[in-house]
Amino acid sequence: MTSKRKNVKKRVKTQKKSRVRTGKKVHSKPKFNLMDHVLVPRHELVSDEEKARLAETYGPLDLFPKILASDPVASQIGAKPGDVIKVIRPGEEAPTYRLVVEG
Amino acid sequence: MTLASPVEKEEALPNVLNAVRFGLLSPSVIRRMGIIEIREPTAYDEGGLPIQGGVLDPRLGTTNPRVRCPTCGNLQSMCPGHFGRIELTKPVFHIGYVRRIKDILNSTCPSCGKVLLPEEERRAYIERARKFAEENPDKVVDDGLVREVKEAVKRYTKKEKTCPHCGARIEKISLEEVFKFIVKEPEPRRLWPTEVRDRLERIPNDDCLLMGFNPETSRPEWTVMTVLLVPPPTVRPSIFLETGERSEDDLTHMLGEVVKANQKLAYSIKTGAPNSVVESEWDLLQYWVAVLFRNSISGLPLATQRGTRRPLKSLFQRLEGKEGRLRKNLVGKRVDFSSRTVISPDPMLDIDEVGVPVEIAKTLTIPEYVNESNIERMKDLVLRGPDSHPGANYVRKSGGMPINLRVVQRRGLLKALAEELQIGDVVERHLMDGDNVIFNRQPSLHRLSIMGHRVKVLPGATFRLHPGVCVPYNADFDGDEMNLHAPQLTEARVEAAKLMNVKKNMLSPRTGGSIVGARQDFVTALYYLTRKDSLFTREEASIILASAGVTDLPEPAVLSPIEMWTGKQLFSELLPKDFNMVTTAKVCPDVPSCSSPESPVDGHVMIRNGQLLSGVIDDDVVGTLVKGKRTIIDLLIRDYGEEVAADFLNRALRMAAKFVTSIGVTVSLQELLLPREAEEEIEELYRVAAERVNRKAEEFRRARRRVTGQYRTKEEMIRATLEDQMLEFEMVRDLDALRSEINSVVARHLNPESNAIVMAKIGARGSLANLAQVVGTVGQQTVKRRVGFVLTSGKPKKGFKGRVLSYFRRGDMSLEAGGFVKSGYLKGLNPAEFVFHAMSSRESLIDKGRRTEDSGYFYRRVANALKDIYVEYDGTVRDSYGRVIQFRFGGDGYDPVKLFRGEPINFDKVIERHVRGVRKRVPKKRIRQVVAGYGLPERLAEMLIEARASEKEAREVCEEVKRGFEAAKVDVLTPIGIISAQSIAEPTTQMVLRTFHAPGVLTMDVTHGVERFKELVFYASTSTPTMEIRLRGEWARDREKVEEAMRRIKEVLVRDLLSEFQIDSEGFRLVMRVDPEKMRESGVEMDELASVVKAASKGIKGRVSVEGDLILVDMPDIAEREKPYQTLRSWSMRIVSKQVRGIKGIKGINAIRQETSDGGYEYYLRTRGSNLREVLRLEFVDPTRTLTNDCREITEILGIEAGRECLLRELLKVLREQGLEVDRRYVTLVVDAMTYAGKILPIALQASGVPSGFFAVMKSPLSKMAFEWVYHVALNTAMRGERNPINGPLDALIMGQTPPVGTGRVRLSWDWEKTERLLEAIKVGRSE
Repeated sequence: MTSKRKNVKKRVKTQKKSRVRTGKKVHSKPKFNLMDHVLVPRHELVSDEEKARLAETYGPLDLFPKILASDPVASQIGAKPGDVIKVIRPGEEAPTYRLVVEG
Repeated sequence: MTLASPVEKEEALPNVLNAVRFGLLSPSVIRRMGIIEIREPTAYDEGGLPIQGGVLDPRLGTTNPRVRCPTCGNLQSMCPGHFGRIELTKPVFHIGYVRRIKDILNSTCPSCGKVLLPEEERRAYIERARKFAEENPDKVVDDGLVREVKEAVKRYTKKEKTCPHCGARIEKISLEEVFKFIVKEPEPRRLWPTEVRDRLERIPNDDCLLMGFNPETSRPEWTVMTVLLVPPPTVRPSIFLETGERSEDDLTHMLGEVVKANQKLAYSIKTGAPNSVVESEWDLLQYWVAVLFRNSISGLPLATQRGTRRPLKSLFQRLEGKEGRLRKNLVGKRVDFSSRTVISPDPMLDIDEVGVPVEIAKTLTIPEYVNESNIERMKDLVLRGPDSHPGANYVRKSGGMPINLRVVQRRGLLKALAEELQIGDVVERHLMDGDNVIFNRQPSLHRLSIMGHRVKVLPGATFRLHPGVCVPYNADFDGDEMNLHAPQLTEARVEAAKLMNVKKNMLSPRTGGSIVGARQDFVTALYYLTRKDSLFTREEASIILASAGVTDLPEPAVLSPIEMWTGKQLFSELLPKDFNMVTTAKVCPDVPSCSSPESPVDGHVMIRNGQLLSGVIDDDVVGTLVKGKRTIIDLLIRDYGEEVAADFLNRALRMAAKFVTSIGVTVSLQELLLPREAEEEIEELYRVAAERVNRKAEEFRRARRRVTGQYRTKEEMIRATLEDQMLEFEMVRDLDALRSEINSVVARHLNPESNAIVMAKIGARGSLANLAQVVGTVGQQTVKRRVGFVLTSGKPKKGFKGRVLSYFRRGDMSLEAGGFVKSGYLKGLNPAEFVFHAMSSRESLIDKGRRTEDSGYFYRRVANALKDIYVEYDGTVRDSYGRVIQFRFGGDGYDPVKLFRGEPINFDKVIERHVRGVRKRVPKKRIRQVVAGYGLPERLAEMLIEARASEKEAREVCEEVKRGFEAAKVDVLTPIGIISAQSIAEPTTQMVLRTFHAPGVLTMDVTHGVERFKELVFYASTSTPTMEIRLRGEWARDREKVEEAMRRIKEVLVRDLLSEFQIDSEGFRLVMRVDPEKMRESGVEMDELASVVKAASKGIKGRVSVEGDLILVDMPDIAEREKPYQTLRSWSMRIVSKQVRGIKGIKGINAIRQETSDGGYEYYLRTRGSNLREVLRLEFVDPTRTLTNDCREITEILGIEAGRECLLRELLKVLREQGLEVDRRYVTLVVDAMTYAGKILPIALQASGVPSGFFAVMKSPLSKMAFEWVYHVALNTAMRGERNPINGPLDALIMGQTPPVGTGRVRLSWDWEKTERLLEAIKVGRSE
């Protein structure tokens, strides 16, 4: 845990440095929204009613595929452990669900 | 009526096992289990009888079939064996746990046994551990927590020297010579097992959990043994040699040694021997006990057999490896009723038949119940006895022993027995025509390696098999052998007939296309038969049709002067009368040229109402595993069912086999001779190419001469090798071009009507490239993926210098000397060419061997990982723990085998049924909307518009087509995991290691093929990361901007700007000479460079000065250091490796121009090295389309779903590059399984040494053991007291139960009461 935090710190540091080193002022530009990336499918938080419905059709939610609460996309949409995220992959009719877990 | 048992031994377990609990045995349990104490060091007395209390005490169970066991009173077959015990004089360690014991001793207090953490922290950890244990009753121990505690204790003990609970002094304990615990302070002291055990006993149950032990099943002190359990002789039987001597099992030997050492130690203690003697004897006892468990511990001498010095096999070695108990006996089972012999072809059989030699048919039997309708037949069979073919070998009556007919026959009582036969008896009759058996060829790489066949008993000694099923089995007839199994139970026989039969398996699950069909000569025959110029007289036509079983001639196509039939007509006789199809044949050079029946090569295949109107029949029309196209067989299966398709195939192939022998297809020498001018043309091409290559090599050599022989820096050497490789790639490109030019010359000059060319064109056998090698030029030979071996750098390193053969001069750069074989096979190779060719051939042979090994392991790993994944009743794909791997298989739930490349139902037929065709046109948009509304393919909409369907009709059609799609969903309980594993692993056998494609600057060092597959699946890593950077707006089009982007992205290090640098070890300074040209190129100013150097040398207080183009760094401080020269060097390297500009990790970059779909173009950048996070930040980069091939990086930055997509794309890319067709749904399953846990789990037991791979997270202990690392898994599992539920197929198999997948998961249940009521009702009905 702590070593991870350290890594993050280190990373932040190097980022700052590399910015300085490009020798040019970085334009302030709108932050890139990772949800727009071609590899990232649509993620949506599932309402409580739907969660209940899912549990009814598919059984216990803790058997669902997982997504870590620290996952960049999960944290961006504000998911907390215990939530379910609906993932709509392009080209797939039926959505997939992932249960948010700690980590 | 009483029935005999259908099989001889009903091998059903009395109980069903739900779970297995692992744990350690406590001394009291051992004493209860091991009733007999073993104390005698010798096994036998003088008379040669086992001694009471010896390691072979008769009370341990009988191994003699005629002696009753004194303990349980059973004969050998029923006596399970009884454990004994050795009371150890002094306790010893269980050798598998010594490291763990060390960790515990160092983490707990020597006096109070609590974990060495402040009470508060300890409580918190215990709380978490308890919570985990409560939530995971099967697993109990939280690995992550145990690791955390270990780290925390380490940190604590670094600072504190006393126990936070009782204040006792903490000792640091180390482990030496495998099992010797030493306390270093204050003075070295040995910690003997007695003391260790005392300390372990003091550990409270709560703290055990933090140490990784489940106190309920496994107390830590039980790892120090005071009693040793002795396995019964049933597991270590004595062997009697021919000489009458006894030979003992290795375990018996070792147990004997343990007893001996134990007695000796007891004696020494009793007699008060000096301490040193007692201690060394104690260690000896420890040694023998350790070796008994595992005789391959590094640091301990191997225990060997006296005399032969063969290492003894210990308990754990019995379990481990391919030949170990788990893989050999528990997961792999041996069977009866099987046979094996050589296979040979017989095209006159049906494709689902197998010819069985009479000899085998008389040995394999099938139990048949005698009933009212077969009693006479059964009597006949019994009467014929065991020796004449349709006979019988045994008869079983209810309750009785099986009656051996051979014995009965000898006594002349067959007739009497036959007469006695009554309903309910079982006759074990010979295999007969029509019986359903299972046929298999190893390696069983996919489902189709084991299929059901119908028996055809034939004379001869080989299994006969239709050549059409060679492809699924991957069989040929050069001596291949196959196995045949005769299923005994009715259920099994029904499954063999209804599920496993060849007819039900004509489609490859991997691609969804047909895998049985015509090949080789059958294709040739059908091609010649259906050519435009094939005309047959009445007699010929009759013979051809008769061979296919057709007895009616159609109307002749030509009436006068004589009646003639076209081959197309004859072929059409085999097709259903309403069959329609349009496709292109393989002969067709490109699709547009074959769009009409007028195509010059007759490549437009059109079948209308069962008549082949145009086009020839060749590999693409009736072949096997045709890529991306539906063949006749596919369509017949879809529209008419397997029976019709199989019948068509049987008849077509039989017809082809007869026809090809009647016309005779051969290759003559004459048709392979090239005319004079062709040879001259080739000669000229060769001359030009040789000149070009030589010129390049010469230029290169001249350029290279400037560089001195020795490389001063690593960079220089790397650059030089890179240049070498570039030259080589260029040469390959030139030579490849030469070869394709020669190919075209050959193709132009050979007679296109010659059989060899025809066969190549129709896909029957051979290729134009093959032919060009025969008549033209064999081409460049390569070794180790490099051309010629005499290149500039003088490779290979071993052997001659500057040349490959002493036949050539040193430094000869000509093509011949570089391994180019100019001659063709027809002309023959000269000696030098022959050697080159042999080298290359040998390499490819070795390659092949390595590849099969690699892909075999790949298969094992992936299959073990996915074995328990199946389709649940709710349509989800789950593993045996019920985890949802996919909500719908492959995202849509379709079974590739039922999908027929996107059209599971014949659209034409459906439209025909529903659409009348209206006068008034319905708007096209409307129809398209309707079709899209149903989620059906656009092609259907176009077809409906064409058919002028009304909206209502369109809806009807859509309804029916939709139902067709619904029916194409995967069957419930399909073991889809295994099928997926097979579908991706089977093609790896076909992957080629070398892929010489587009030798660009960067693509060449990207990993491909099996290697890439392996790293993705086994490690989820990328050894050669590369990015695809997309640019924004103007940046993507303006060449200058692109250049600037590249400059800003590529990593520039200090050393990249230097022409040279020197480390002055006397003055302790670093001298760097700046290269002005490089500075200009990268746009770095001297000041900037100097400041970077300054920053880099800050840590050593270096003084930086600039003198002209020199940068000097003085580091006087270093002189004071311990190792001054080393330090100087490492600091210097650190300085020159400092980054000046660009993005870290991007080692190379180039721009690629790409046409965009809207007709424009854009540049994108490809890099060597990857740093997604930084690149996405750049303002000129289009972050939404920028990619890397490192899926872990993607997961970290873009999340698990993006990581999944990356993994999927990368796997599909490999398959695409290798030209292997695999349905993407299977790949998605692998990817979804790997990303189930929210991070990418590599398919491995452990990742970086810690158990955290796919297996560790997702699998039961038993299935882990069945995979790898039995020893470690078993020890860990026992320690944690894990519970192993028997859910998955592997667990079930190990426990001897039916694997719960597919038909093994369903039971027939029969409502007897209801049946009786029904029967009653029928009776009543009848009487009324």
